[in-house]
Amino acid sequence: MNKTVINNLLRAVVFIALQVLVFMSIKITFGSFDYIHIIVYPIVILLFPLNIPRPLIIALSFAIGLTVDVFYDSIGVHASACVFIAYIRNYVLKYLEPHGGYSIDISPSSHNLGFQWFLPYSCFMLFVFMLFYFSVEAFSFVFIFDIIMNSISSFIFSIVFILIHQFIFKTTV
Amino acid sequence: MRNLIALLIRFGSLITFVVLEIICFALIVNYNPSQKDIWINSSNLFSGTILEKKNNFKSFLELDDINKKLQEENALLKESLLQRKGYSTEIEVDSNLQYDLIPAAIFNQDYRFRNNHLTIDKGKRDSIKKDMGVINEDGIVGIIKSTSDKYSLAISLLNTQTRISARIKQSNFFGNLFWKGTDPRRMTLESIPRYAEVNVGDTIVTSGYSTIFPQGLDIGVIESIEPKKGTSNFDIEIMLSADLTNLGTIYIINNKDKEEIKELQGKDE
Repeated sequence: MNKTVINNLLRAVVFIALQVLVFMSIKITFGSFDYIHIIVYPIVILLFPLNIPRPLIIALSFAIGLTVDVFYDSIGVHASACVFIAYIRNYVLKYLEPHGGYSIDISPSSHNLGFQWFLPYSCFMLFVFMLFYFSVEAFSFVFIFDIIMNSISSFIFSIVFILIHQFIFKTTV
Repeated sequence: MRNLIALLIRFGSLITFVVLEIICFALIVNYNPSQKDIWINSSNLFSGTILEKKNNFKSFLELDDINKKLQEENALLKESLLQRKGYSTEIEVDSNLQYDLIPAAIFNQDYRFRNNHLTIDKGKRDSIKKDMGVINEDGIVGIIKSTSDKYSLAISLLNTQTRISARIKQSNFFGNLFWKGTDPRRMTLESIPRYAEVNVGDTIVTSGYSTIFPQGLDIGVIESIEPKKGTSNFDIEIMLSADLTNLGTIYIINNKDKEEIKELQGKDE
């Protein structure tokens, strides 16, 4: 239990730091195509162990999102997207449940459940995050083109980093 | 109590989710300028349509009242026509028809604030311009401040910026009429000298010294007179004859000679 808390806390701190110190300042543009924003910290929410109570996960995600918001200077925008994916996480997990069910205290990672399982899980969650985040950032569906372009291109670049992380580090809890 | 706890366990995550999302959106629209703009604009759009619907409905309900008022007014006009008195006692429309009256309706009105405005359902299209006077059948109401195509905005008498040149009908002394910002039925007349003969109950009318209102329009009656401390003037409280808290039909006064008068005055300077 203690190890779980320390591991997750450490992961949260490292990823938030990476996000606001490194990825926030990376700007990839191809001419006038400036829709790429790399956002990797939602992986912390994806990897929360399965035995944490749902309301706690939602509250923790809110805290993580708000912390990132402070650096992005966009109070509430990241937080709302984080809260949303934290809420739908359980339904996605239930939908993707393997035949044998989950072991109760593990983290839903590539190492624990296999890459074949992790790929759709992370792709879906991250894409929903991107869609929600950019919608809230634009705040009006007048900008639907920007929202879609931002979501798709940012999703592609971000998922690469998340999958690389899963290949290198063996997340257990 | 046990039910409540069971409810919390059952819907705990949903409740957390909803509460936190509401907090998030409150934060977003309060602390992010671009989102705030969009929020305010779209909610104004929304409330605007609702307000308009409400007004339409309200005016429908008031049709009876308005009808009655118009009938009374009509009767009065007919009466004066029969007696061949013309309009000269009430509204000074001289033989050359210097003044036009444009009937209009109040679309939105305030009287609770210190600086109140009226929105009127006629605008540039109906040849309404800035600085025209607004009256109703009882007395003066305000002055047009700005106009759009279909609507215009008037400064109500109940506005701390309003200054109107007024005359005591019986003794012909002139003063400035202004509103203190509290009582929607009373205004104050200042700079009437102490040697003037003023009585409670005297009628106050417009002086006609500006091009906005013709002379002799009713404003109200004197309610109390007190010497103003430290000056040689009176401080006179006026009871307004028009009820500015409940306006229906109004008229906008168009002074056709305004341009000519303005031009003349400009030449002199």
